[in-house]
Amino acid sequence: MWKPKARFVLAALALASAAAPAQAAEPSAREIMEKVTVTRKLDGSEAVVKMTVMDDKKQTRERDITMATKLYDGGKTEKRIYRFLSPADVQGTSVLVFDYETKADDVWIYLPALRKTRRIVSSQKTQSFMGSEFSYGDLNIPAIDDFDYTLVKQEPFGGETCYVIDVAPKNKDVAESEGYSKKTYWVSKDKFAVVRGLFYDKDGKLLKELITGNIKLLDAKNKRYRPLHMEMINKQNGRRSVFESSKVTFAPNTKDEYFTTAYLERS
Amino acid sequence: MDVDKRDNLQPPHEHTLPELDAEPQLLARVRYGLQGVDQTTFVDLREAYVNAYIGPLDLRIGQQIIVWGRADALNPTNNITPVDFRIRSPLEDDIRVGNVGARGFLRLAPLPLRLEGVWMPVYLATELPPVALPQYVYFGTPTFPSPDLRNGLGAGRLHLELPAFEASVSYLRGYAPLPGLALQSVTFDPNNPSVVVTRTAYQQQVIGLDFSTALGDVLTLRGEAAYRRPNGYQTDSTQNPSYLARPDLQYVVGVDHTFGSTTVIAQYLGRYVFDWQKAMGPSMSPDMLVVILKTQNPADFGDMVNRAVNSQLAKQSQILFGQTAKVQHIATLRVESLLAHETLSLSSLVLVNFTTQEWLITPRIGWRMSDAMTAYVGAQVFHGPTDTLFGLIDADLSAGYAELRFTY
Repeated sequence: MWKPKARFVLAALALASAAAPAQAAEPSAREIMEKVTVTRKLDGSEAVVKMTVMDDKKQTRERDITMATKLYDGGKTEKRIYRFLSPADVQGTSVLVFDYETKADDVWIYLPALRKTRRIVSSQKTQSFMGSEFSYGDLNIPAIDDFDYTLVKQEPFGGETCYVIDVAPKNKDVAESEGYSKKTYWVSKDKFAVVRGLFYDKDGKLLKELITGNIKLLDAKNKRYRPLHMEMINKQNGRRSVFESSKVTFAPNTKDEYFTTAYLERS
Repeated sequence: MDVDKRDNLQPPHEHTLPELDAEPQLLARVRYGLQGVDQTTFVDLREAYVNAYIGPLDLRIGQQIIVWGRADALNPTNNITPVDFRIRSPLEDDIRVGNVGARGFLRLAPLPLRLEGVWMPVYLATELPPVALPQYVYFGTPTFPSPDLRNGLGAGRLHLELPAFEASVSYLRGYAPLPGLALQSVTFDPNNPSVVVTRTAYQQQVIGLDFSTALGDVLTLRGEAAYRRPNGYQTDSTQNPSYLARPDLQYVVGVDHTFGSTTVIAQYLGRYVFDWQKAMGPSMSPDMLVVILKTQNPADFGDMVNRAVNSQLAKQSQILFGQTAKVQHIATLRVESLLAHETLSLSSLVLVNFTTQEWLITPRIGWRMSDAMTAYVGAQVFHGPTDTLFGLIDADLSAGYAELRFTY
C-alpha cells in the first residue's frame, strides 16, 4: 500500500525540483522592487538639476538646484541635500533629508527669509516639492515593508522590456502618509529602474504619471543607475514638472559636511 | 592665512554644490512708501560681508544680520541684531537691521558639536516709531556707547546637532539693542521750558538655550529660554537708573504641524520678571509739571521735577521692556497656507498677551506673479490698554498695506 504513495511523493518532488529553476529566473514583484530600491542607491552622488514647472497654459518656471546624496549605515540611510541656486526669490533655500529605511525620516529646511533652519516632520511627504508636481515622498526611497506588490504583466515601454508592478500600501496610515491609494510601476528588466509610474489618488483616480529617461549607469561596478530625466504629469490639472540633470557624478567620497544643518545655513 | 581649497577629491568627481572658499555677499533694498510721516524712497544696504571657509572654521565678516533662536516670531535668545519697527513690510525679516561685525563657526567633528562666536564692535539701537511726547518734553541726543573694543558685543553659542534632536546653549554680553529712557536735562524758563530725555543703552548678560525635535512624524516640538541680567542692576530698585531693565526669564515652547498645504505653529511664551515692582509714574500731574517748569525759582523745585520725570521715565522704560507684570502668559498662533502650486500664500500671526490684554494680528495675502515679482496685501493690527507697549504704538503702527516686491 505504501509503494504507490511513495511513488507519488517522489513524482511530486521531481516536478517541484523541475519547476524550481524557472521560478528562480523570474523574481517576485517584491524582489523586483527590492532590486529597484538597491539599484537607485548610489554610494554618493552630486548633480545639477534644472526643475521646470509648467502649468496647464504651458507657462513655465525654472529653478536651478544642486543636490548631493550619500549612503550611510551600510546603505540603510540615504542623506540628501538640495540647494536652490536660482531664481533670486528662492536662492539659498535648502532642504536636508535623512532618508531612513525603517523609521520616520529627519527633514530640515533652510529659508533665507527666516534665517533659520527649521525641522519639519516627515509626515509632510504629500507636500509639493517647491511648487512642483513631485511631492517630497516621490523623491524618497519608500520603505519596502510598507507595501504589497503584485506582478501584473510584462510589456515593453520606452524601448525596454518591463515588469509592470502594482504597489499598494499595506494600511491606511501608509496611504495617508503618501497620498496614494496605489502606484503602478514599469520597471526595466535590464536595469531594474523605474521607467514609468502611475499614481492613483486616495479615491482611486489616476493622479499623476511619472516618465523617466536617459537612465545612466553611474556605478558600473555595483550596477547603480540614475535617471537624468524625470517628468511628472498631473493628469487631473494638466500641470507637469521636469527634473533634468545636466551634470551627474558618481561621488562616493562626497563631503560629509554637506549633510549637516550647518551646511544648510551657508547661503 | 591660507584658505583651504576644499577640492580634495580626485577626478572624475567634481563638486557640484557651491564651493564657498571666500564668497562676497551684498544685499541692498530700495523701498518707496510711507515711513512715519515721510513719503519717500529709502535705500538700505542690509548686508555686505565676506564668507571665508578655513578648514573647520566658517567665518563671516562685515555687515550682517544674525538671528538666534528656534522659536517662531518671539526669540528670547535673539539679542544681537537690532530691528527697525518703523519699517512697514509683510516680511518679518525686513525690519532687521544689519550691523558690522564678525561671526564664526568652528566644527568640532567628529563630535556632533559646533561652536559659534559673534563679535559686534558697533552699537546699533532698535528703532521704534515716534510717539507723541508731552508738552515741553523732547528727545535729546541718544546716549549710546562709542565704537570701542570694550563696548563691543560678544556672544558664544554651542550647538548640539543630532539627527533626532538639536539644541544650543548660549551666552551673550553686550549692550541691549533696545535702549531705555533717561533724563538728560531740565530747563526752567517761563517762556521756553524743556525736559530733554535721551534713549540710553545699557549692558546686559544673557544666558540662553533652545532645542527642537520631532515627535514621531506628527509634530515638531521647539523650545527656547533666556535669562537676562542688566549689568549694574541693584536689587534695591531705588538704586537703579530709569533706563535699566529688570532681570527676567523668558521661555517659549511650541509645536507645529502641517495639514495638507497648511502649516500651523502654536506657541506659549512666559515671562517672569525678578524683583518686579510696578512703576507707578509721578504723582505730579503733567499740568503741574508745566507750571513748575515755568517758574523762575528752579532751586526750589529741581529735585521734585527730577524725581517726577525719572519716575515717569521708569514707567515708560518698564512698558518698552515688556515688564509691566511680574509674570506674563502669551500665546502665538501662526497659520500659513500655500495654494495654487505655491503661487498664492495666505498667512496670519496672532499674538495674545493674556496678562496685559495686548494682542496683535497680521493677516497677509501674497501672490507670486512671477519668479521676480510678488504682490502682498495685508495688515498689522496692534491693540493694547493704555500703559502697555501695544497701547503706545497701536495708533502709529496699526495699518493696512499693499506691496509689490521685485527680487533680482
